Amino acid sequence: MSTRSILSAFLMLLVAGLVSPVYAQDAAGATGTALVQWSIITAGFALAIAALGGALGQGRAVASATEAIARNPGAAGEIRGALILGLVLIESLVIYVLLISLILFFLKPFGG
Amino acid sequence: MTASPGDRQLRRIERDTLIVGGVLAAGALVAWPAQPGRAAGIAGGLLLIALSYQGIKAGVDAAWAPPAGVAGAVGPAPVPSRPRLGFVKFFTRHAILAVSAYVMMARFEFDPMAMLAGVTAPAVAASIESVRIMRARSSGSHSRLS
Repeated sequence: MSTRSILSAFLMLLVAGLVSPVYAQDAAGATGTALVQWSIITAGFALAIAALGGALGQGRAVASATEAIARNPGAAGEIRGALILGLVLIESLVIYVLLISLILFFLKPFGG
Repeated sequence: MTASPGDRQLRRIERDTLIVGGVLAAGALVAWPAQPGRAAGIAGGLLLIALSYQGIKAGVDAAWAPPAGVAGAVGPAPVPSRPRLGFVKFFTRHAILAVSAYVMMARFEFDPMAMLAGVTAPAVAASIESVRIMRARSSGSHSRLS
């Protein structure tokens, strides 16, 4: 599958996600319901973007650590420690977004 | 087997994380004695990041434990006795985290903002460690930390 196809599919999903709340609104068009729907959509996208960023960051960290250990096996202990710390700090950012998404999904601070 | 400087640094950060989390939880209990959900939320956030840390550490140990007798190795990490379990922890950590966070938030009704504060504890601990390293370097006693 080419990059253009993936990009097109992503754009179509994005448009579908943006349009669906419009059809889901009732006749009265309650503002609160729309806000809840938007907050849930936002939470989903936020989690997806956080997972993407976290995965890219962790991938780069692991690749660099692997290369460094291959070049200098004697420093494996120190590199391992730095790698674990870096991965945990990246992961904590993803957990922030996970928690915020769960708040929006289940606690519904905007009502609903 | 002697621990490498990296391992010792991780031990210090683990200890500092627990201290920061404990101080935050105690502060929440003192500031809002009628709302124990806030202190519980901080402990819950700390538990989440601990689960994540254990998963990552188990995976890294399973994948990168250097073989014994590497020339010039500075205190190689102990080879995990059950590397398969380490990989399972590593690859299932996000599912475990999501379920745990859901249970804490939706079932136990921990304070969500307090949970966010609890998750911040390792970042604060890492900042403390970096300040400690900078102070040691400026005073010329780097060996004290290693």
